[in-house]
Amino acid sequence: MTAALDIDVREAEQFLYREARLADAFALEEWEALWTDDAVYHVPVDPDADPRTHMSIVFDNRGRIATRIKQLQTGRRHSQRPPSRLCRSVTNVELLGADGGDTLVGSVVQILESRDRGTTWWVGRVTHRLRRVEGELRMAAKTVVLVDSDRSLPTMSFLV
Amino acid sequence: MTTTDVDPEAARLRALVLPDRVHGSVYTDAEIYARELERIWYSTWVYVGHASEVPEPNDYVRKTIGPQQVVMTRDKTGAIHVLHNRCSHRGNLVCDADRGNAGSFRCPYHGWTFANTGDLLGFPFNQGYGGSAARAQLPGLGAAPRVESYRGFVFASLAADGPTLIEHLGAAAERLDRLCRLSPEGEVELTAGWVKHEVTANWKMLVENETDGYHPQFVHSSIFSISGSGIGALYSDKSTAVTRALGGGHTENDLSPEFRRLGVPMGWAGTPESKIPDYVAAMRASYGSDTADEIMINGSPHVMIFPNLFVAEIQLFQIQPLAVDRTVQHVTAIQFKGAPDLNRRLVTQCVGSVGPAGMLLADDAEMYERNQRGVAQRQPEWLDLTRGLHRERLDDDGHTIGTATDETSMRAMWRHYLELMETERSGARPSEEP
Amino acid sequence: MEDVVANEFATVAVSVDDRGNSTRLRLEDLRTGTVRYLDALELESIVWAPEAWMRALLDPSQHRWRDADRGPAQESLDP
Repeated sequence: MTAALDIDVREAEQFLYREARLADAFALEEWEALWTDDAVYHVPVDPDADPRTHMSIVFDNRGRIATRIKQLQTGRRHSQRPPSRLCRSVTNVELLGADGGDTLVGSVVQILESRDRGTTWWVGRVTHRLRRVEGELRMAAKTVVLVDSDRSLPTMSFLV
Repeated sequence: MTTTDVDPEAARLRALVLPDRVHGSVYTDAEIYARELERIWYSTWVYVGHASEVPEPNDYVRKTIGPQQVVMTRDKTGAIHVLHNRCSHRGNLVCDADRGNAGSFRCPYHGWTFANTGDLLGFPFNQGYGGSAARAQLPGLGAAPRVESYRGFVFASLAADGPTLIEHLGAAAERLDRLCRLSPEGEVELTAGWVKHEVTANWKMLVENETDGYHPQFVHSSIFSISGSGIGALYSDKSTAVTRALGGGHTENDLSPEFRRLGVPMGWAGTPESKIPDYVAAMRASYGSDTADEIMINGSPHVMIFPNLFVAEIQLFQIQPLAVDRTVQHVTAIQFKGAPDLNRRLVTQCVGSVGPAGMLLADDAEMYERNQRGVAQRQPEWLDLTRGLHRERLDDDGHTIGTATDETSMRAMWRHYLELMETERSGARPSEEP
Repeated sequence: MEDVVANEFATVAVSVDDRGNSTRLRLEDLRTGTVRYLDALELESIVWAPEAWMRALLDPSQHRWRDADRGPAQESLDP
């Protein structure tokens, strides 16, 4: 942890709320534009394991984030046809520190997903690595540690 | 095969599972499911885990045989045991952690303590049983009466008698050989951990789908169309791949004719040799250049070993029924011993494809669940199994084969299923073990 | 990390081994190279073992020199 924080908690919250709203609404292009070029999107099974040698639920580099978005955009991603109805709240927003010019922000997310099969309540702790790029905040990394990450999970093909 | 005409349930099943169709109720009927547990899951050989998951003496991992919770242990002599996770005193779950290293297990309820072989070692305040000598008269942990391994793949049967594992595997054993040959050291390791994906569907929906070559072009078109994946073409009318019944309910999509047509080492994995130079060099050093190239061209198997082990080229699935309409698919990336550069790519590739958010498996899961809800509807009652029936033939080994998209595999699965389900019950007796 | 516990009678290397599915104690008799692993429940049991049990454990005829075929020349234990 070096460098001073250049983001205050209010600005971080506003970013997280906007990201949540775009994901809920499947505003795919706008959501994708929030990522930096070196982004990592990670939903681990075991947050202490090395994702290069261990299974994750999601472990996307920037290229694979783009693929995930494109797959949804085909309209033939069956597990999202029709799209899940989503409403998520982001709470417990906390500045965790700075790292190499980025700011680490912790939060808790609770997502209600409604599908034909029924509703699922997804809850997890989230860490965002935020970076200012040309004056705008971007996500360089997002890690979502689901409460049930190492238990049996139903299909989760929306953007968590 | 012993059939009992006095068994009305067997007669009913024979009317529901026909050579060219099955009745929808076989996926939804709780009584049929209960019989499947006894006749299939608690009788035949079921894949439990891999030796590499318990590498050291006294290592253990929690595993499952359908809804049964078991602990796979390696004792201090190296032998592998499959124990029921149930204290012999009051029936408490003995073991909580998913994995660990322990020579003995102590039940948290009253402190009964068992060796990792299942033997009862002792209990607190033994005067209540007339002293420690009572130990010899009291039972230990229940143990699967038969545990055998093939190439590190550990299977258990809860029936005391039956075919040996190698008889059960039959031609499927060679597919595991083919998989292991892709390691320069001839071994696979399951060290990447597990993703567990639960679906609201009957387990047989998954088994059938695993070697259904008809669905990929439809279910996975979203990802094939944007990723430039060649997988779709493997399962087309023009494909030279075949669907094969291996006997014993085991089935495969043999894609190796297509991989040979491609003729590129590691082409099957979509990974150019230049990206994994250490692996390619190690393979050539182990097998010699010609054989190594042949192995790397032919690729990995796509085989469903009935009832619960599915090897899909780079990933391994273990199917676990929980209820008639609930199934968990446990999945991990296959890791080849002596191939760290390849293994990392396989983890990345596998994570992208499988599990709840996987770009392939999330859509398969959607189909299982839609299918489960569909078969609960009243008409037309039957599921059709006739695709490719008119063009089936025998290959040189005497196995029935169809084209890449034919339902040869499903028909074979159902034939074996019916044999097990109508056979006079021989297994599933309470274990004779102390 | 390995430490050595030694006195004039014995020299034993002690380390926490994590090659298994959870940690265990690795003990090596450096004079013979004989190794034994102890898991947590075994260690706890030793902590609670009565003195009589520990005294019995130190009786050489209980282990290395347990019968006529064993003695100082026989330096490894059967498992």
